[in-house]
Amino acid sequence: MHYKLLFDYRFREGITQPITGLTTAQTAHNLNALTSLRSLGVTNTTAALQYPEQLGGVAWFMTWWTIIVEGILAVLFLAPWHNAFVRNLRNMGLMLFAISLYLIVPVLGFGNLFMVMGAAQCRPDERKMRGAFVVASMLFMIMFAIRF
Amino acid sequence: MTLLVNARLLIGLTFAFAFFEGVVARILFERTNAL
Repeated sequence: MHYKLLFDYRFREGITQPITGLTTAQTAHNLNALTSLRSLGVTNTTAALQYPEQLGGVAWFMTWWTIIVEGILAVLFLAPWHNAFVRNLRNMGLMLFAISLYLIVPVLGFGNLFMVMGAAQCRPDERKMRGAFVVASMLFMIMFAIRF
Repeated sequence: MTLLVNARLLIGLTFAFAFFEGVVARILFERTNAL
């Protein structure tokens, strides 16, 4: 996560720069450091990266937050309870997960697949929720078109 | 009805795999860093 936050431009521009205040100068330094490691004929095996102190905490939080949310969603969807309360939790959980992730990192295939599966597992009477999954899917496509 | 059950199972299994993958990756990361 630490690496992603520094070198994946989607995380860097969407999270690292606004939250931790990573500067463009630091990013340029890091990219240079990384390139120097990959160059032919270079014998150094380490490169010092520059980043704000809070970055470690953000990476730690995002790692565990993702693992915990995935665990909760797995339990919700695999549990053999099908009452209205659990179904609502499932729908809301999946929706929150997808929106919080795929609006920052528009991985169109995954986002849309989740939305299609979300819509497919709705009961016939859950029309609003099914519509919400379809709308979210369109939102991802628009975001994807804007950002790429 | 079949589709209803399958989509729910698929989502559940996807997240279950993602969860275990995350935990394993985290353990491996800790071990590598401890070396």
